[in-house]
Amino acid sequence: MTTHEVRTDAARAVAGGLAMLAWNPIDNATVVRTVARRTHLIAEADATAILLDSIAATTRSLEHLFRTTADEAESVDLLADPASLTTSLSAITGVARRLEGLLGDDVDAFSATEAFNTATRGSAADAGGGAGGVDAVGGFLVGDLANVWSGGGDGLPVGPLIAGGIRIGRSTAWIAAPARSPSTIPLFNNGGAGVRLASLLQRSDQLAPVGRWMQGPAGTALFRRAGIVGGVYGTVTGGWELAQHGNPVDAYREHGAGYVADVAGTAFSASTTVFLLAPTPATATAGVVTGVVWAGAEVWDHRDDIMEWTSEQWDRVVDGAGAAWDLGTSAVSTSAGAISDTASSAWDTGTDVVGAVGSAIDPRSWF
Amino acid sequence: MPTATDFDAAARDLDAAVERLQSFTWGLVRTVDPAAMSGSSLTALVDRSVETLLTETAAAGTQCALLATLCRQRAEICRRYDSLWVGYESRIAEFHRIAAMASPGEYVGSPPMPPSPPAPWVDRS
Repeated sequence: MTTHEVRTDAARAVAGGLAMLAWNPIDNATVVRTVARRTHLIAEADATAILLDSIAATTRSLEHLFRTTADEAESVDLLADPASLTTSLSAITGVARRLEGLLGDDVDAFSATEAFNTATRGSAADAGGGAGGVDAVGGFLVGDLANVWSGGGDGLPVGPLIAGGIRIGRSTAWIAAPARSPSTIPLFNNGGAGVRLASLLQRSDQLAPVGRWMQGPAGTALFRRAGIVGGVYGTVTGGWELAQHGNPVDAYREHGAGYVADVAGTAFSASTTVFLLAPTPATATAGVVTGVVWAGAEVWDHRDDIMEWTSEQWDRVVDGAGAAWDLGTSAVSTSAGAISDTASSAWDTGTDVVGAVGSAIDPRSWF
Repeated sequence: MPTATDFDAAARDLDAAVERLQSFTWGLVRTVDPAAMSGSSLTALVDRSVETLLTETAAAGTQCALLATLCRQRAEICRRYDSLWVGYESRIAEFHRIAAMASPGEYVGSPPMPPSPPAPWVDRS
């Protein structure tokens, strides 16, 4: 059996598996709609049913892609009919485009959760105090999490900075560890939060297998793959945004540290992806260095916000204690100066290592 | 209107849906062999589809679990309403008993009021 035949069979097996799996969301959508009718929760369950329909449609389309690819790969005969390649490629491209379109039009999970949250808000209030949990969980998933993560609007991106700081710290520890191996690279499932989540899941009879899976090699492989996909996405979208700025010199003149933060953020995504693909001390160091540059640039870019926030906090303290206003302002300027010095120091460190970053993200130096 | 029994049954159905969605996630990870498309330009599309499916399935599972919680809370409220009705029925029976034994013109007090449903969707079993 040739490699080509093995892969064709594998694609056909995947298509068969997906065809069976597609019944799962279809059945569940029927259950949700039946339950909704029986309990008069039609508005509340509507978003969930639509989401399940979307999962079924995507699964069907993915199945179609695997099946068409296998069929076309089998039917193409370059020797007898060279034009058959064009026909086959056209057939596969058509299916791929439909799937792409479906993903583009797909029900976004966050939008669906938002719709669900809006629909259940009234129900939660109706159901009494305990039902507030539905609202709280939905609100956390949709709004609070997003705000914490992004910093909200143009503010300091607190979430990414915290996540980036953790990643830098864990990568540094990995570089320094005596027994380094690809299986110990910092991922969500072997970090503090991941380990605690897995341990929490293992306390439940229903979710224990998920907890064990998270800690096993399959979980590690999936989180690593997810990290690579996320990193590639971050790098591509970051690169696209940078390209929209046009000439880098002009963009720097216009946006200053904000532009440097965008460049360093993209480099951080790229170097993290490279580290996940090829975990070596060199790629880990590139990740740490770009991360420090990015964090320094973000802090510097938002120094006014930080100073304003510090000033507000100090005002509250001073007002509460009834202390003299001039004492407050002198302390504000001192603390603001300290933050500014820290940011400058981080920035200086960052600019010193820009050269090193440049070579670290050069694909020729990865292998 | 649905009763406590209906809400309990709905919660169980939704719990089962959560379990089935969990098995869908396992099945998807097991079934989609990245090697089948490896090296082709379709790899990225397959990856993106799988990531989308995993994210959406997690969201749908969470929503089903939250709907099950909502159904259980409603079932509990219906049960509390049921027990208020039992109390009311015993009080009204007592009132009728006293009224039947009373002499004409004797004051027997006001009849007890039936409990009001705490929400429009609440019904007795």
